[in-house]
Amino acid sequence: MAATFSLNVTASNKVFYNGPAEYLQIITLTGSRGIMAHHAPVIYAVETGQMSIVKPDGERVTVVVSNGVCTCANNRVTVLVDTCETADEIDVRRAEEAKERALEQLRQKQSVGEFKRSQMSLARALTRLEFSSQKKHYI
Amino acid sequence: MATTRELRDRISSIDNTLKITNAMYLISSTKLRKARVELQQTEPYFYTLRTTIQRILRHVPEGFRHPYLDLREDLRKKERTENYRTAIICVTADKGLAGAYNHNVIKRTEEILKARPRHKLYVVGEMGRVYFRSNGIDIEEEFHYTAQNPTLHRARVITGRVLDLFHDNEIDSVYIVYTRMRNSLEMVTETEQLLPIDKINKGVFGQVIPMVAGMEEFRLVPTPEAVIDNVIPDYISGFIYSALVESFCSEQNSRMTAMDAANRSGNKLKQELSIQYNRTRQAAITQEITEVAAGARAQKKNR
Repeated sequence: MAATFSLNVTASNKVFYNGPAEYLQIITLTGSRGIMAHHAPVIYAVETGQMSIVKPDGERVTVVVSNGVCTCANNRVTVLVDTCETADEIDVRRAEEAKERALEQLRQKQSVGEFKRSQMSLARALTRLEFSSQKKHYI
Repeated sequence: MATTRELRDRISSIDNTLKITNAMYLISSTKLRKARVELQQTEPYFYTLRTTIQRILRHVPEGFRHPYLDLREDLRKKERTENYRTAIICVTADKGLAGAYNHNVIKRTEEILKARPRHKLYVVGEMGRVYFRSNGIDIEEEFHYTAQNPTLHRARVITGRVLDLFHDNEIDSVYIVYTRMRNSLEMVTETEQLLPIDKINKGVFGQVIPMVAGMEEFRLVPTPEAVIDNVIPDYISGFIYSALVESFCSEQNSRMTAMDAANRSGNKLKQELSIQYNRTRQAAITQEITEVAAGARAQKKNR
């Protein structure tokens, strides 16, 4: 059995995962990162994208997370994100609508902050859509 | 002495009012239960976020500067505190009939308004908006958010609005006035400085976590700026969200208390009035009987 670390994934509306994990893959601002046991102490800025957790029994859980931070210290990893959704929780139609809305807003003149926000909501919508379409391929 | 009819009307009007207050009591107790659940769900996120930010702030390099953390020393030296451009977010209820809840928040906000004449005022909830408008205090337009059913999305929109102002250098600091539930009975009106984050005085972070011996050095990846940029807006929207939820809870709680008191005094009044009503009615009946008896006796004499 591979070494494990304790992982805590907290989203703004729930604690998604709290327990041991073998491997964590997460998208940071500088690209995808894999985190294993005894990681060096570091704080990553997390990007909107897919996150995979490999549990000690080998089961792999993939979810969509949005912006946040990931802290590694003393063999404990805390992932703190705005939202965290499994494939079942994603509402494809809502994501579709959000994407359209964001694209429409991006076409208009906006302040820097508004632009960033529309960009973020577009990223969220696209990640959700991509993720849910992948799930269909699997089945 | 009031006539029986007057008393009856009064009692039935109290009955109607009691129906309303009773219904409002029940509604606010259900809403309170719902809001409590929401609050419990966000609490772990919020506390973890708080400790994470404290940790990040401890590990930023010496002499690190960031607009969110900048205390604007030059401004502080140049200007007096009265001249700070301040944005104030004030969380009130949409409806009255909640005891002193709205009044407390408004009073606290007015204190800050007086201390900081150069302000922008953002009001959540209809009661506050109506109050400030009728008192001739300028409030920001196009900020129509209700206090009902707070959502993270609404908190995010409010945050975006405030951060935009902060980025464009239109304001120097951001305050929020809201009501917190200390326990299920006690509510406190709170004022917090959201921006800039006061690293030295610990500002919103309150207590300082004691330094643990042999604490590890953190690397902030990719850069401290990027990490702070990523996490502070979330923190602020998280704070605003929890403030909205706390306020909503407090509103429902104070409405419950107010309606409970109204129910109680309504029932008391009703009881007093019905006693009075029965007395009057009895007096009228007695008088009628006496009159009839006297009349009958008079008739008998005449015969």
